[in-house]
Amino acid sequence: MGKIRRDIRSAQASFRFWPERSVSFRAWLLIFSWFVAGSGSVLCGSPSVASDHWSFQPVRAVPIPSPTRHNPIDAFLDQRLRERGLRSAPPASREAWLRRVSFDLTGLPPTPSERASFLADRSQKARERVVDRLLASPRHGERWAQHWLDLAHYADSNGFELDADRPDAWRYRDWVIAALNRDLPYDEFLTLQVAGDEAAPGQVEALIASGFGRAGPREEVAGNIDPEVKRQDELTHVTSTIGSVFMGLTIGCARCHDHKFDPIPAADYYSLQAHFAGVQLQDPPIYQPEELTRFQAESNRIRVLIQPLAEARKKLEQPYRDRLRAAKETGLTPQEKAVRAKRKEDRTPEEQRLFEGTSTALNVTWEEVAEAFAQHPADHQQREALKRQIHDLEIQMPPPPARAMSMVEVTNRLPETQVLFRGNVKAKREAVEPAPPRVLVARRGGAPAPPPVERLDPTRSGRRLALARWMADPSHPLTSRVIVNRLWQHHFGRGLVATPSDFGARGARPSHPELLDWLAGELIRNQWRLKPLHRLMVLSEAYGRDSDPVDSTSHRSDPDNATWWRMNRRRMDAEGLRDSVLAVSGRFDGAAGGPGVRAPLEPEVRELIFTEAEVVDLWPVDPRERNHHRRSIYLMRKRNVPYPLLNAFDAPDAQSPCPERAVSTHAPQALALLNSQFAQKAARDFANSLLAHSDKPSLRVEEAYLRCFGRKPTTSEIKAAIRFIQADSRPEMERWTDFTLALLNTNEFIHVP
Amino acid sequence: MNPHSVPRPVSGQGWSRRDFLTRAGHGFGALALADLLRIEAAAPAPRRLSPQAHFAPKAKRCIFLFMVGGPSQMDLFDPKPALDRLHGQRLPPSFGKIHSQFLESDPLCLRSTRTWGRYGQCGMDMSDLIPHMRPHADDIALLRSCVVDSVIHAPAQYQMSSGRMFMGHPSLGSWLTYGLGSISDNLPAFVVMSQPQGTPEGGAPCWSSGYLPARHQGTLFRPGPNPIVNLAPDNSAFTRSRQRRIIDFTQELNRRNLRQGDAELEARIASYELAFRMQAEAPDAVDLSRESAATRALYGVDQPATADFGSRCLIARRLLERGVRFVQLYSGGGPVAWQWDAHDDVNANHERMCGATDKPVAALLTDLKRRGLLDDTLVIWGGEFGRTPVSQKGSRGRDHNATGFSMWFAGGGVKPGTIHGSTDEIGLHTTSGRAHIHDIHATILHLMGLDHTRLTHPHGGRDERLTDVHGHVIQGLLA
Repeated sequence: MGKIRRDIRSAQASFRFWPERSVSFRAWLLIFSWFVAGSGSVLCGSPSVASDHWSFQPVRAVPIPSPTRHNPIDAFLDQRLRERGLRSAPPASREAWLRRVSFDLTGLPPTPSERASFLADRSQKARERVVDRLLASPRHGERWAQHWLDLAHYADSNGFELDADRPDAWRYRDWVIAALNRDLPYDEFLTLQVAGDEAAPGQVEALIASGFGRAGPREEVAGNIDPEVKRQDELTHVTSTIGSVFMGLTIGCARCHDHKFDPIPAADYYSLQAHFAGVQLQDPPIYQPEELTRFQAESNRIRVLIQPLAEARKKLEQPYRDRLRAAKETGLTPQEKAVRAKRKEDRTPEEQRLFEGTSTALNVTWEEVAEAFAQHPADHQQREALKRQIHDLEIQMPPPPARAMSMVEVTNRLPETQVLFRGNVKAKREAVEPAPPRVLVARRGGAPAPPPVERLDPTRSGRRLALARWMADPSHPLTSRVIVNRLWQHHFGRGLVATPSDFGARGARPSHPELLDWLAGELIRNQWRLKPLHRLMVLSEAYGRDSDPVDSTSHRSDPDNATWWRMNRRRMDAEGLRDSVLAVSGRFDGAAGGPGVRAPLEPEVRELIFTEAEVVDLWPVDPRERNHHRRSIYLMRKRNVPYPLLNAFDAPDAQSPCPERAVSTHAPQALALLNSQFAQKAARDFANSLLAHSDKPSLRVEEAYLRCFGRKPTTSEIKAAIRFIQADSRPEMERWTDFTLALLNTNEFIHVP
Repeated sequence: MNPHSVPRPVSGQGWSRRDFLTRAGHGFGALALADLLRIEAAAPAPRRLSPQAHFAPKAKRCIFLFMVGGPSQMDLFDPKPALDRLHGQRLPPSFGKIHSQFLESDPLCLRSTRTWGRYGQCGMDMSDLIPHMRPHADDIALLRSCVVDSVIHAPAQYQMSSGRMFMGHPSLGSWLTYGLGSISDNLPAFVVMSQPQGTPEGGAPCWSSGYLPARHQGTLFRPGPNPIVNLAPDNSAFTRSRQRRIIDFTQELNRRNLRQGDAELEARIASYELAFRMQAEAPDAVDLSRESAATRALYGVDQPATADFGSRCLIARRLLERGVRFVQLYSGGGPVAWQWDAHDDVNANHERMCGATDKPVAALLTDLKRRGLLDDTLVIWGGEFGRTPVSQKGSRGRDHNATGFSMWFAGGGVKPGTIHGSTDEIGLHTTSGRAHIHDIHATILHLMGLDHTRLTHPHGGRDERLTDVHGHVIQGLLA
């Protein structure tokens, strides 16, 4: 208490210095956060932090405004439209709706036959049948897993300078897909990812689920890294990720100072972090004994094949290495030679250092060997051939036996967690116990008090399980709101809260607070199952509205569509675009699951893969070509080597949680979609399948329109297409390729209506 | 170049092309193309629709010559005679603790064996490793007191690029284009050129746009007919006229049902025209056959040692001339032998790296100056950190040192012939004029007309900045 008062006094004294932050920045922040929190009690020195901020209040039981309305979502939205005197846009065409809902629920366009059967179904239930079909499709989990992996910032490599591959990362990706496909209730989905090892001890799937805390980048480098700093970085990463993803709290900010805008003192951050104090980032084996035997047998078989080649290479290199070594030895100074000639016992400690240093300098490096070989073409060729042969065998090595990339506790004797002044591990302050942010358990707040620590297994502390159960309690004010808002965001183009991972004071306020609360309640009423919520959203009238902001009074008074008087047109995201290109060109391969696929990568990007070693091929492309046509979620994601197509279309970089993707428009997108090998090949495949579809040009054009745009072309569009195709004298195949490439580049293809 | 020009006609073909231009005149002619391309649809309320400087800039464009691996300050710009005396001895404890990547507890001092001289009116120290820089002593401002927070390559490279030791934050070039927009209608605003032997350890995150929109990321350029990834199809059957025909047809389809004032769709239409012009402009920009033999010789393009870096420096000048805002040029990458990472033998390493870069760097300064470009071009030279005054495990090499190393600046707004800051007797720690990377970034933004505290972007609940919550403009470097 006295300390706080002192801080206040010193903050007042230093107020005029604030822009330079020369004195007691932290104290100033304290005051600021109290203003925001609107809590008078703090001034008396009470540690409690309360807030009137909307998202910390309990989810209210909201009555539906006009219960006769078919879909409650429309009742809430219409009420606002009426209040503002806005007229809703007319419904979109059935075709546009089908394209929209297919893309939103499965990330793929409707096929011509899906379209035909929907248009033929004139019953009341036609839309429901489509939605149920899409929700039951395995494509649904793949689509929505991508949104989740954006938050987990998943990739198949570590990032940082070595960017090493993670051979087992994909198991977590597949777990997310499967969980969404079987509509695992969100409270369990959360619990397994935060505390799988504690919630379900001994279960492999739960271990894999805990990989959520491992999906982000991790620094693995040689040298003097301070282990304490590294550990703190890891804990910060997992704590802030969990805070923002599950609760919409930008709690990571409170690591270095009391939160600037939300009532989260630094101590609360460390109390939250304390739940993770015991976690180890481990990859425990999950393989069966046979798998290990098989692996050993197979790798031995390959090693035996490599051995004679490796020996041949060594023999070939030996004279070169000897010559290089000899040249280096003659370059030693007389003093160095003298030291090297001495026996080890006779050297002074300084001389011993010099001896070791010169030994390093005398080592012959692969770069020097390669340079020397380059002078002798015949030997060089032989060496390159051997390298290639060895490489070709090495890439046949079987993947290592299965392990779970997991976040586990191995002991319940946990280190103490201390507040770190300005996040500095060298500036430890008071010790804290694991506890959720106080603002959420404050007497006025709605969040439940944390349950007592629960131990299902005596070797674990149960801290994370307690945290997970607390977050997944139906009365938690944030968890259900945050996830239903994410669903809304991806269906309607913007969240009811426009900052989906920030429900704090700096975040946007909900545009429709009653609707948000009603949806959150609906999630709980559906036992945390997400599919009923998806169903409700996409079957609403609002979702079915036209997206074109035709000139109207509504457009004039609500140009940003804050009231959802119309739908929002959206540009496809990177993965959706690539998957759609594959689908319409007829090359889509629907195989699910398994290790990330290395599809062809532009050479200039392949060259960016960092290595200090002499490697023949840093990106050995999957030899099975059909794998190159699999969904983007199954591509190998190397953190530091983004695919140019995905990168150009704003795929996140997997360095931090991405709650909302940027949508930018720039020339390299056009280059990627016109010129990349992927686009060019897809256009050719597309053209080929059109030629096979029919002999009649107009029917081919119609098929192309149905696949790309989900609608038939108009007479004038057919004419324009045929005029374009016939106005050229190149072979038929090339002319149709030009046509399909143009279609893939149109605004209509790249946007969801 | 006028940034407010509408798309120029390129080999007009048939009615659709004319129609496009008509539409360009009436439909979105009012909005400049450059502005259209800045529009971000669906992004939460774009804050800087029309980027512009906060105050009159001293430099309009910038080139960062990044020496990957960490050049040795005490073998290039910061002579330390005291090391001669201490050579081979344990580091006296009075100098404090060394924090470096691999060092043991009681390392031995290592002297520099270079020959030194003082050059220019200002008497700037330079070693014999960089003879071509001598005539430029009065052009550059030497900063001897640089500090970063990591002694590991990748985090230090991230910090040098983005102010943070982690990946995922926008890089300097991204912030500059975000803040200032693009000068050229035909080329990307932020260009990166890495060396053919390989990329810096940090990889693509070093030129990432982080949470800024993707169009602010660095575009990789390389010499040759296809300087940008996917600039042209890997298929000779795709001639330029065929491409034009495809784009024209795409645009024809795009214009059907296009509502007037639909900025997002119009921006996409414009982006195809920009891409098409880029296809013509980019190969031209990297075509060094258009330079005189004398200029090529100046950069050392025709000599094996300097051919690569000389070519890239000359390409950089051509890009800057054509309106590229920021060029990030890397020397060093791939195998250790091809970085400034002199762990084993500082002389052998630096003779090779300086041999490859000294002449081209000096040529770039000469060339920019004689063309009048140096006045409003900021040139920066430096690595992610410097090197230790002690040897690594008794070798002839030096380990990484982040607490006191040298960089230099030249051109727009920089006070030439200045030496700012100093290190201790052995070049280990900064003793005066400490310039943390945040201060260096603040200064670069200042010279480019941007206030580092006002150049912000909302992300994760904060208004993020290049300089985080730190940074002071280094007044001593300003003209």
